[in-house]
Amino acid sequence: MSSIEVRDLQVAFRGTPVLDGLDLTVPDGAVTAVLGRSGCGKTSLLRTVAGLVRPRSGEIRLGGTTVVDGRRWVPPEQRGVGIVPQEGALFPHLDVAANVGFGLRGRDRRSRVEELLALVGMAGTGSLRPSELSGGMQQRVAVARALSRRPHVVLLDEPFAALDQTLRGTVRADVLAAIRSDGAAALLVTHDQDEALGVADRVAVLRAGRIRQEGTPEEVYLEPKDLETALFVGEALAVPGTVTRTGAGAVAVDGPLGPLVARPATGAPTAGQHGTVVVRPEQLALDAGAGQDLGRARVVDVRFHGHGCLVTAVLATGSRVTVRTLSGQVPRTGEECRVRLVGAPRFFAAR
Amino acid sequence: MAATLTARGPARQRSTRTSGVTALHVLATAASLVAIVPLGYLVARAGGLGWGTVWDVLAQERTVALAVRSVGLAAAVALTCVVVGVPVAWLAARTDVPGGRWWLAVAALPLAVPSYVTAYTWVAAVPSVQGFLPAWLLLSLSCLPYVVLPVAAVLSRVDPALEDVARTLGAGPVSAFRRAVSPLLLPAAAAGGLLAALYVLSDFGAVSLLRFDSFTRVIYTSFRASFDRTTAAVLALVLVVLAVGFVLLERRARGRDDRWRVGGGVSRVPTQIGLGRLRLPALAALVALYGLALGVPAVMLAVLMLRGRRAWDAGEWLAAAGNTVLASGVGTGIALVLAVPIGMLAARRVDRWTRVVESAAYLGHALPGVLVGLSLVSLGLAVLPGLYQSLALLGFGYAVLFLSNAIGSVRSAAVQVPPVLEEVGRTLGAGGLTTWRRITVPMTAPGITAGALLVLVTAMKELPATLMLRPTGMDTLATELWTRTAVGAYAEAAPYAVTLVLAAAVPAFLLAQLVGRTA
Repeated sequence: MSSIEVRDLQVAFRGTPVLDGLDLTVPDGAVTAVLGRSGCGKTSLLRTVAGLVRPRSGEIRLGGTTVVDGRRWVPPEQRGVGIVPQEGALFPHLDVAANVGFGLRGRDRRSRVEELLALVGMAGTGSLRPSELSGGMQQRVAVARALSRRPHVVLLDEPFAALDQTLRGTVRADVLAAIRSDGAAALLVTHDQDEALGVADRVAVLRAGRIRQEGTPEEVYLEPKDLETALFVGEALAVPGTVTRTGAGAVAVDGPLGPLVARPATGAPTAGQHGTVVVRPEQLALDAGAGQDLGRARVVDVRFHGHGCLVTAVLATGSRVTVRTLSGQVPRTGEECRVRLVGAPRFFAAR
Repeated sequence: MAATLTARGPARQRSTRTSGVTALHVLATAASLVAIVPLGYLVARAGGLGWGTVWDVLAQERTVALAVRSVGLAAAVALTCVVVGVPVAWLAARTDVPGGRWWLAVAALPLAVPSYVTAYTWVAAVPSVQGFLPAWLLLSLSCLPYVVLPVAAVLSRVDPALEDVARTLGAGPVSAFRRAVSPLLLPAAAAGGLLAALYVLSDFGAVSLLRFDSFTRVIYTSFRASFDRTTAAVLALVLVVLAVGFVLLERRARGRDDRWRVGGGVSRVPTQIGLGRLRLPALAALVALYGLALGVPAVMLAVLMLRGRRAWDAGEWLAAAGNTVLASGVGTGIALVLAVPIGMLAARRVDRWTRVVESAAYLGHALPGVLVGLSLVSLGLAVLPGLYQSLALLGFGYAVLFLSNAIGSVRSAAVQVPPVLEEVGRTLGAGGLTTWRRITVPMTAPGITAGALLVLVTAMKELPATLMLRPTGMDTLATELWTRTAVGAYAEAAPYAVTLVLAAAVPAFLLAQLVGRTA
C-alpha cells in the first residue's frame, strides 16, 4: 500500500496551469523529497494533497482512501495529513503544549503531547511561548504538532530553508528521525538538492508541472532520464557532441573535449546523431592514471572547500572543464596539468 | 541540543553603544517637563483647594451621574466599534466582497471629518436631534476607523499557514478562523476600542452640539457660565484619571499584540474567502454603513453650502482661514521644537529615563482639549497674565495636545537612520555635526515634515482649546462654525465646515499617497 497516490493532477491558478498531469506515488514509511526550482509548483502539489487547494481534475488517494476524484473532495480536516509550513507557523497566542495539542482531545491529550515533545527533543518545553523559541525549536514543535493525529503522511514545505546553516543539519536529521520512528510517511518539498539527495529515501524531480523522474537519490543523480534533470541535480558540465560509433550500452562521441566514450541515457542513438554529453566534476581527474585522456589543460580557478576542491581548467581545445579533487591535491592557478575522464559520462540525444 | 533560547523584539535592534546621560537626555527631559505643565498645574490647583472641597464636588449626585453618562457613552461607542468594525475589516481584507481592499481606503475617511462637523450636519438637518442615542450613533460612525484599520492590518499580516495548519489538524473553516486567527485580532480590536473610548471621553464638539451632558461639556459650561473653576478643575481631574486609565489599558492591549509576533513570517497573500450568495448582501451592508457615515454628511454639507452661498462673507472667511493657519502653524512649530529631542532620544536609547520622558510627553495624548484649555487659562491668569489670551499660549496649548503625534513621526523617522549609518559616516571622515547634517537630517526630514503636516491639520480642527485660549476677536474656522451653529445660522456655517473637511481631507489624502509610495 502507498501512503500517497496522485494520478493525472491538474491544478491552475487564475487560469494558469501550475500542475499539469502530475503522477506521483509515495511509498509507506519513507521520506520522499520533491525537488524543483522555486515556482515549479512544489508548494501547490503539497497544498493540493492537504486539501487546501482544489485541483481542476485528477485523483488523490491517501492511505488507500480516495480523497479527490471526479466526484469527491474531502476537506483538509478529514484527510489525515499533517503539515509543516515554512517557518513552522506556530499559533503565536498558544503555548507549545497547546500548539501540539490543537488537534487532540480526550483524556490522553496531555500524555500524547508530552510523548510528541519528547519525540522531537523538546520535552519539558510545553509552557513556553512560540516567541520564546529559536527557529529550530519552532520547527521541532511544528513537526510534533503535525504528527499529533497520527497522519498517513506529513507534508513538509521547505521547513529547513529558514534555519541557519549550522543548525539545519541537526534539526533536519532529528525531525526526519522523529517522523520515521512515528511510522509516518513524509513528503518533503525542497529546492535544495543536497537536502533532497542527502536525507530522502526517494527523490521526485518536479519541472513544469510534472514529475520528470522518481527514484532513489542514486538513480536520480547517476542515471538522470533527461538533460534538464541531469543539469538540475548536482553540478555538471554539458558539452555538445556527435555520435561516431555505437556499441552495446555505450557510444563514441566526438566534440570539443575530443573523442570520448559515453553511456546513452535513453534508447540506442545512431551514428551521426547530435546531442549533449554531461560530465560530473567527479568524473574528471587531474592526475595520470586509468581512464580516457582529454589532454593538457591550464588551471584558471580553484575553489577550496576543505574536503576537496573544485578546479576549473581550460583544455588545449579551448573548452572549460570543472574537476573535483580531494583536498590532498590542490593545484595552483596557472599550473599545467593533464585531465582524464574516469568512468563514462552520460549522453543525451537531441530531441 | 544545539538550539538556544533567543529573545526577539525591536528593542534589541537599537543601539546601546553608549551609556549614561547625554545632552540629548537633558534636552528631552526639559521638553517633556514643559509638556506636562498643564497637567501639573491642574493637579496642583485641585490639590490646593483642599480635600474637603474636592470631596464635596465628587460626592455630588450630579458628578456621579455625569461620570456614569460619560463612561457609559464611551463604553457603548467602543463596544459598537468593535462589534461592527471587526466584521467590516474582515470583509474588506479577506473576502471577495465587490470593491475589496478599496473599502479600507473608505474606512479611513471618517478620521478626516471632525465629529463636530458631522454633528453640525445632523443638527442642521434635524434641529431637534439630541441626547444619548444620536451621540452614540454619530461617535460610533466617527470612531469606526480606530478598530477597522488595525484589525484589517493584522488580518493581512497574519501568516495564512496558521489557518492551513488548523485545517489539517481537524478544524473546519469556521473553527479554524475562530481558533487560529481570531485570538490574534483581539489585541488590535481591544486597543482600537479603547482608542474610540478615549476619543469619546475627550470629544467636546459633537456632544455639545447634540446637547448630551458629558464631562467635557459640563466642564466647559461651568467654566463659561460662572467662571466656576473649582468645580471645573475637580471634574477635569476625574476626566484626566479616566483618560489616563484608558491610555494605559490601550497600551497594554497593544503590547500583547507585539509579544505575539513570531518569526519573520512567510509573505503569502492570504487566501480570499468566497462569500457566495452573501456577496451582494455584504456589499449592501458596507454601502449602507459608509453611506450613513460619509454620504449623509456630504450631501447635507452640499445642500447647506448651496443654501449659504448668498450669506457667504468672503472677507470673514478669509480672515478665519488665515487665523487658523497662523495659530496651527505656531502650535506645530512649538510641538516640533519639543518633539525633536524627545523623538530622537526615544529612537536611539532604551534606558528607563528615556521611557519615563517619552511616557510623560505622551500624556498630552490623553488630555482632552477642554482640559488643556482650562488649565492654560487658569495658569495664564494666575502666573503669566501677559500670556493670557495670546497667540503664543494658544499655540502652546496645541503643542501640548498634539505633541505625541509629533514625537511619533520624529521617532519613526529617526529609527530609519540606524546608528550604524552614522558610524559609517564618522569612519569616512565626517565629524559629528557634518554627519548629522549630511546623513541624519536628509534621512529624517521627509518623515518629520509629513508628521508636522499631520500636526498642523489636526490643530486646525481643534475646537474646545481654541474656544478657550484664543485671543479676543480672533476667529478660526472651527470657532466660526461653532458660534454660527450655536445660534442656528446653519447655512452661514456651511463654508467653514466645508473648508475644515477639505483642509483635513486633502493633506490626509496626500499623506496616504506618500506613505503608499514609500511603503
